[in-house]
Amino acid sequence: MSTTEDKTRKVKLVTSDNEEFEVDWEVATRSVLIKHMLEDIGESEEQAIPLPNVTANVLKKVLEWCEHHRKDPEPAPESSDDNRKRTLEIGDWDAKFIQVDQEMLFEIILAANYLDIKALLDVGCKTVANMIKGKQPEEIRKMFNIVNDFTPEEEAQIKKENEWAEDR
Amino acid sequence: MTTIHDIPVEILCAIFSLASREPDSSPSIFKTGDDFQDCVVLIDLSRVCRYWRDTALENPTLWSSLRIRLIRPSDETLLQVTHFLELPRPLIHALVSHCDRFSKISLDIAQAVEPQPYWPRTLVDISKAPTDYVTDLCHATFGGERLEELHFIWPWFPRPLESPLPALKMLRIASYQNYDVLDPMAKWLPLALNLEELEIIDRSFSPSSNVEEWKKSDQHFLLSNLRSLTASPSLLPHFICPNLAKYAMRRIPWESGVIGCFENFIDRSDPPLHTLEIKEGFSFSRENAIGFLKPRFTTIIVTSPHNNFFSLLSMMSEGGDRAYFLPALKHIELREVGEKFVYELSDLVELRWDVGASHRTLESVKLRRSLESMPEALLHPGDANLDITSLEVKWRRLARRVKQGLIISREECT
Repeated sequence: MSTTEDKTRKVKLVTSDNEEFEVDWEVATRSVLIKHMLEDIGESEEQAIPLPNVTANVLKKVLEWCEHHRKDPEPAPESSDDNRKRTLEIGDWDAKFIQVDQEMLFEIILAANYLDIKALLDVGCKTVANMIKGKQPEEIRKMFNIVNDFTPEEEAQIKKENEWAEDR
Repeated sequence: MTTIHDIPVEILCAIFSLASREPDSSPSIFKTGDDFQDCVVLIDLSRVCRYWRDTALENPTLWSSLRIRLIRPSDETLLQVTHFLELPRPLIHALVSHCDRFSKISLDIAQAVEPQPYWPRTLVDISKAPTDYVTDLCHATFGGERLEELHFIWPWFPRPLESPLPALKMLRIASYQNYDVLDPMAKWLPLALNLEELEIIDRSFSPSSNVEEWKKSDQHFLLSNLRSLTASPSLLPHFICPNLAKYAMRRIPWESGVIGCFENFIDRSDPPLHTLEIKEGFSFSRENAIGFLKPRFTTIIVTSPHNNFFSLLSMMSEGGDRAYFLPALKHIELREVGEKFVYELSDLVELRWDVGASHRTLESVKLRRSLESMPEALLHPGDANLDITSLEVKWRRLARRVKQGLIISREECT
């Protein structure tokens, strides 16, 4: 539970390329990882939080998302029912936010995973899911520059398993 | 440079799960409404590269459920289904290839092959299924210890089981084409001792010619955990279900012998049975239904009820202080009730509600896909501000009981 004092507090974050960001406590604690680290270090405002897995340009983008969603309620623990109800829909602001090149998209996903920002990770995963849904394997390979590394024997086996699906 | 290759396996799984899931709330990874293509998404993903294949195939949560369900499919979908069935290596083969991954399997294309009065279409004739389906399926080893739910069409899964299925909670067998439904029961039930729900849809069985023969059969299945059973009354001599709470049948048979089957089953099992469901309400008539309307039932569920249902359940005892049939009835659930029956429903509710508080048992009426024009005001029991005069006349009698506390609820789901 956050207090009024918390909300006015500033938090320093240091990226892997040594850039320092000073952000509101409410924004920084969209990240469960940062929230826990802040709880560990207590009241010390001066102590910067090191984020060795995030570069400055990615953190900047992540903080943009956190700033926009700073007032969002904390996500409820995920149940299997919630999981079933998940759809591929993305809100308008998030959809615009995530219109980035592939490298940044995957950087954001990795950062959201590392920083434990479930809602941002969800936006990233849905974006990739939307990209691959309805595509044939060859189209997916081309889109993400994936090499078809199956041996001819494996190809034959897969073809045999899925012959029914070939004729669509 | 960061690429999709850097994405850890658990995130890739989450992406696959999202990509292969229909956007509704179905608990299925694979679900086809009228779109038969959706069921291949996960298989397509497994064909991209070795890493994706390992990820897609080895994660049990992705493969926890398979449902292929066609509800009133389009002509095009029906053609696709026919096409898949006739291919030398059909959809079933893919299922067999992945069969050890599922915890739920449902092949529910019954609605595609079953003629409906309102749905005259060219049907898929499953009797044309080549025999090599059977051979392949006999060698399948799907499910194993993980399988919790299985729906299948007999004789498409005639697998001779060897090991128990301790996790299996729900089994649904649809039998067609005059196959003897005792065969799959004998194969599956002894190994599925923890079943909680069993449904046997036996569309070709003709009780009039076989009931005596069935009675003579001495095969019994003790299903100690079974809570819900859907089966023709003719099958009941084969069951002992001491914990059964709900019994459902497709239609009420006309043969007098089947009531004896039902009564003997209750005597033998002594279950805490309280719910009766009739899936084809038009089969309800005084002559064949009264034997099943035991006083023990507190809930009745009927799909497409007709006049006979309403008039039977509206009959009162001679003293007029309690219902003649199902006097302990608390909950009525009706599905697919047409608007023309609103007055019959009002009669039924009125008679059972107005018997006085000391004799009243009725508590709720649940409607599914029914009476769509019913005003929202009727969904708020005990609302003292409900203005009955503002409603159309046909709703007023129900509204009056709602105001007094009757609970009416409505579901539109399919």
